[in-house]
Amino acid sequence: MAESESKRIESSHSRSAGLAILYGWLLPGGGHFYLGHRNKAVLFCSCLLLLFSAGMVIGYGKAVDPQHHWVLFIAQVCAGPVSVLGWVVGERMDPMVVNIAPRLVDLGVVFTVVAGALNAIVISDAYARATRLKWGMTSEEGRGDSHGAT
Amino acid sequence: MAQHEQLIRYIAVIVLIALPSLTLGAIKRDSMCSIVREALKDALYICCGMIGLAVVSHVICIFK
Repeated sequence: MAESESKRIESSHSRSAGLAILYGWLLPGGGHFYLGHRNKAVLFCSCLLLLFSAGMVIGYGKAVDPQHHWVLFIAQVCAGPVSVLGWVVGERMDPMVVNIAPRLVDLGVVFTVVAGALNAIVISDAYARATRLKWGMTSEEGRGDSHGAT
Repeated sequence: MAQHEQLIRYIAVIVLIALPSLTLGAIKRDSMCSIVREALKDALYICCGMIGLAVVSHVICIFK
């Protein structure tokens, strides 16, 4: 059991780091799925997409708006193509919403920015796993890789 | 409308704490049990940080 687990992890290390980054950007958790960490991939995908969608719903669809806050848009883009989709949806929404409930729109922006920033961390984790970089990890996490990988 | 907005704000804060701490827990740990434990710890740290920020901003408002 432990041998097959270590073989799976070894094969995950031989995968391309560039593809792990690309899949991680296309769909949150995609990089981990590509590397064989499927449970983690499902967890990342559900958490980040739920966070991003919550932001879009709370912000009345106007949470992604590069014309008003382009610096935050850079963080939102890290969430992947869903951010572009959110931008397209926002363009079709009524622009008066921003004046009716500006606090809720701001809250939506915070949600989407946090989702994007977290996906950037998830992508870098996938890259680290693909290239065997273990920066910032203690020996306990190193052991966790060989025993309780999900 | 105001009550509705207040309810949305409470749910939003809970979601904003729970989902990122679960994600960070999954990054730091590998087994499901330790992910949840780590997420709870992270959620506690985030709550403490938010309370600290609220206290600091309240104090600033008083002395302004």
